[in-house]
Amino acid sequence: MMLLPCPHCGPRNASEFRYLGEERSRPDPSATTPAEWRSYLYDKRNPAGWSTETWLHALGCRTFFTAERHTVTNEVRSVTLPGAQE
Amino acid sequence: MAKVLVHAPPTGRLAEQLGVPFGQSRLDDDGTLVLRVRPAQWLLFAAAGRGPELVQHWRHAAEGTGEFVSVVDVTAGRSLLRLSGDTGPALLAKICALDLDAAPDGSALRSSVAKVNAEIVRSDETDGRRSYLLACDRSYGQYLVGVLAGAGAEFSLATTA
Amino acid sequence: MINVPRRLRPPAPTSTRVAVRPGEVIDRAAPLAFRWEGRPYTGLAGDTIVSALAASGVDVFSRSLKYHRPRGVLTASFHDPGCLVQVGDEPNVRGAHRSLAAGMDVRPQNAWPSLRFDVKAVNQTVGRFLGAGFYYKTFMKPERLWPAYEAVLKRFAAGGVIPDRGPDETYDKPIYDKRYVHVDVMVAGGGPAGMAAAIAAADAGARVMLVEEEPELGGHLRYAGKAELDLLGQLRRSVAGHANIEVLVDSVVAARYDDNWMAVLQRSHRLARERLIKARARTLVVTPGLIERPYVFAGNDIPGVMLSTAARRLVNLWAVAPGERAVVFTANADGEEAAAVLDDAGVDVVRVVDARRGGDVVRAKGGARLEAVELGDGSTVECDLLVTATGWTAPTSLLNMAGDRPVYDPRAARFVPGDRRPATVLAAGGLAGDGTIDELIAHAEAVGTAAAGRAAGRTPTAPDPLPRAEHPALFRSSTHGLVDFSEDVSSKDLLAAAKEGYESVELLKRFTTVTMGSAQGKLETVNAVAILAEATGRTIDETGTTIWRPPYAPLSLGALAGRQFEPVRYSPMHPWHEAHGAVPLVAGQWIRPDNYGNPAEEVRNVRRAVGIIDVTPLGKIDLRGPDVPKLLNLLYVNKWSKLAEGAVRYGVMCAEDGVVFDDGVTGHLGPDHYLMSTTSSGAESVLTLLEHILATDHPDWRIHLTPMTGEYASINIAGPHSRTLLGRLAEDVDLTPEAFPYMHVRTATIAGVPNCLAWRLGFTGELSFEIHVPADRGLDVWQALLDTGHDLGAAPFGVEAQRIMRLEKGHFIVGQDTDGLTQANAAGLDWLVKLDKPDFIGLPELVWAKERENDTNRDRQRLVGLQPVDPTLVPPEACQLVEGHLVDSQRIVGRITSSRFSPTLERSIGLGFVAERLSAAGTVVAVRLEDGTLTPVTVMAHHAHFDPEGTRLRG
Repeated sequence: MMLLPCPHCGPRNASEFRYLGEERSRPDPSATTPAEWRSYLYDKRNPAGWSTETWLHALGCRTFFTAERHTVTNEVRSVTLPGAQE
Repeated sequence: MAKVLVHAPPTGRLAEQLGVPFGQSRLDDDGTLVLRVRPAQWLLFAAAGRGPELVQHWRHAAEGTGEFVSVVDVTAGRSLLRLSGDTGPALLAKICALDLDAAPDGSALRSSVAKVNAEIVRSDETDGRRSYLLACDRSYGQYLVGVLAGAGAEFSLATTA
Repeated sequence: MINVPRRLRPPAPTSTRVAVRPGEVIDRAAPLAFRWEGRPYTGLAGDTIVSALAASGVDVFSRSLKYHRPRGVLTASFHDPGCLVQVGDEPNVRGAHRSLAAGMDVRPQNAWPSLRFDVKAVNQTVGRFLGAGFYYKTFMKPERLWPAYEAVLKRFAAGGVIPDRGPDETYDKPIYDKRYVHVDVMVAGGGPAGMAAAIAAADAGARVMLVEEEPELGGHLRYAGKAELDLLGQLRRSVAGHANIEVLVDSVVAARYDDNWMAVLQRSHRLARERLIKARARTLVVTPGLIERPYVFAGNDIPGVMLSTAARRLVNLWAVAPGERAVVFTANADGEEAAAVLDDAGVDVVRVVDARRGGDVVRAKGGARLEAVELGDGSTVECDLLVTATGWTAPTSLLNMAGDRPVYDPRAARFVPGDRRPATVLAAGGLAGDGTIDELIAHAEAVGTAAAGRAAGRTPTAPDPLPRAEHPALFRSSTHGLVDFSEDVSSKDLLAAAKEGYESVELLKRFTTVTMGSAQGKLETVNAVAILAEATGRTIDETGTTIWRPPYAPLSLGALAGRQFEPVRYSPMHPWHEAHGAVPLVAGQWIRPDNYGNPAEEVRNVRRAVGIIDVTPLGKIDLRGPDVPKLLNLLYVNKWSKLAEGAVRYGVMCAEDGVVFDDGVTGHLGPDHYLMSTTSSGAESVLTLLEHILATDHPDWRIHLTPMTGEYASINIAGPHSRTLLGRLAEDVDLTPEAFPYMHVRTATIAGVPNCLAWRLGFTGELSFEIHVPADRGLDVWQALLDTGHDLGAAPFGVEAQRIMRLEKGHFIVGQDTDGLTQANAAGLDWLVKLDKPDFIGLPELVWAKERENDTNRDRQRLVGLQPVDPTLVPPEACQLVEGHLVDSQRIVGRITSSRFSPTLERSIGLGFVAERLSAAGTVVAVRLEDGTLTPVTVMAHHAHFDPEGTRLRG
């Protein structure tokens, strides 16, 4: 089982975390089109490589964070808290 | 025991007064144990009946700081177990995947204990004996006691009320 | 023509135990009685099952998988493919590994009716029909015969027996345990290199776990000469002297996953039959040693043909002479050593055939025991033991699991580790290369030191790799023989498969099942690759090898299941329910009372008098802060800005696709203070959604969330007498309809318990109060309600009665009457959804859904109330609705989502989805029942079958 570095608790087993999907931004609901909205809902990049994802340390400090993870090697090269400057 | 949850900004005047860094706990002279298991939440354990007093105290402390603070009495909602003795770490190692050797006295962690989200506080006895406090949602209490009893069979686990 | 099977000779009664060996592990003063094939035998403490039997002259331990040929010792170790036995209840015990215990009842497997008279041995004579892919080709068509094929194949399948105990579970079930471990350095393999690496790592301050498959540390030193035994003693003392080395013997690192997460199987734990250790190590040192490779020639599986390591182990560990007249075929020093050991133990070594000088073994002759060997020079030598030493296989499994791919070294004639593994995975010992024992130990020490350094976060360079010694490339003689002893796959099968086009080693493996048996490629992979290379005219390097995947060693299902962690939640009133005969209902993690014996009577009692139900599992979230209304407006499809203090509102949440996600009520308790309730099953996901919104999208909103599900015991008091009942116990609250109207919340002291909440709600359709009581007093209040309400008819009701009443009232349940495609309007929630709000979760989809209602598609389905025309018929839930109840049009137009018999209306009622064009009140459609018959049901005007105006609940 891979380790994920929680920004607060440090490395913990992946089973403590919940994957909340690739990072994406919600279109403006008053101006969106069906095509754009459904792309937001259903289209995933699913790369064989670096992926920017939202995770929740569900069975821990319940922090939400963004992780850059390599989907082939499971290496995590960065974790950031929401609102933090990239 | 009374249990009170304080929500406050992770840095600020109230955080300073509460005075416990994330991941740690402190036992005050009056017997109150202060844990910080989430960056912006403190959990206070105190003698039974002291809940309303603690709620008042911290609400009062928050006034004047200008900070957004909430204080909630959660006395009835959490089950508390103490695990004392030398085999405590070996017993916990059967139901919790954390490296407890890396958690010195005073550590306050949250993790999965037998698949239940629980607070794990290392709070050794005054004579230096290893001791852990486990806190979980009250509804899981009976399950967790059962799991500990099953896992502890090989250590001649004794239970005291 | 089929031959009658031959009777094999009975085992020799004489002992084959030889004089004391310096490194023997048996205790000659401790005899152990056991049974084999039902007959009494005696072994010694320290014996394995097979060594004890071999010492008594037994040389056949099983029958082979396909041809049911007799099988003896090949490796005398865990992987020995012919030594799987049944021990009591336990099937597939590795007989050449498992320590003998007094009283063991050992039986052969895969032999019927007996080991020496095996009916299926006829397979030997029809062997030419059982070539590669035989099962695939023969038992494929026609499909209708599959059940018959299964019955036939089962009789021929390998493996032991798990006794069917039936429902009686009083027998002593074995315990399987589980444990987590964290170490700096994990050393997989407790031979000399593993011990040296562990000692060096521990010297450097690391926490070390040293795992050895055999019952004691030592590896090949255990069955070597005096000097090696002395060295072994030193190493063992040094390991024992380190407090920070935890040694596990009779254990194996079975798998390595990301970030050095490992499955370690501990076999003979004092309390458990097996224990699965989930270990996390900063660095892993892999030191499994080398595995000796069999030689492929005619008759190479006849009992009496064995590897040089097997012969040395039998003689030196257990003082068993593996034969009387031996021929040794060798390509290396280990074969010479075996010849010397046999000679020393009094075995007559009649010939040493040296492959390096052109010698070869062409054929072994014999039935149940070797009788003679035909050599490459044409001569035949009578013997009962043939020992082969033709080379080694490097078990690179754990390295492969870390991403490495083995490469072939033609000079050393074996696959060796590649260079594609993380810095936290190292190798030492024979796996890493060759050398004298001193060189190997020095290298392992350097590796152990480097491993400790890397575990501490430093980046020491690993020692230079060990050189590899030259070794003859020796795989197959001029004859054909078995490659896979577990699966009965011969070199001829492999050549035939290659001819059929299975030229990729991975395809060859799956087609012929070579390497797929109990030894899992440890003995056969290299020979299989070499033979495929020969068949296809490629080099071994070009042919490549199969990828070794987890697990490295077999794990029992019991070990994998281990001690189960299945959290169960109970309400504070659970002891009362149990004591009063409640039928338990598993609802997610919660155990709830389904009913107390008669749900219909529970319904009638609520409608007539008053009932109480434990609804503690309802999700409850405390919300505080000035921005709570903003959050509620974003979450729910309806409006929340103007909810007065003391008022309660029902809300529905959708997901961003407009699909109904959860529902519940939220009450405004005080200034900037709200309490939200969710469905029991949705409590976790709603909390996560709220936290997610606040953490990522709206960190500026000043809101604090506190989950309160366990904080409150929740009781719903329902029925015409509920106000009277609550009034007898409540203080500090005015319960009159004027002061406390429907959909409002008040704080109260109930039965002397302060800080309770009382809500006026109506899920059951009756006048009802839902009370939240601090959980530690829940049972007291529950009891007080029943005691005080005795004269009013107060009685408990369970989830089933509640479900009936909510269906009578037409209240849908998210997940029961809706599914993953049900948008809010389809669930009949148009009245609730406020599309003029600037935003809420799912808004765009619901706007488009509304627009679509104007199009011409009237097959879109909507939730409606349904009543079967036959009032006594309760159609099962999930039955399909079809158009036209007189003729089966086969056209599905909907389905039943909820169906019950209503004790109040004394008829069957339901909810279901039906096509919009058929959703007008009074339309009759048909339900297709499970047996295919159709029965008419009427679409109703309302979801509610009972009191659609809601006069009762507003009373």
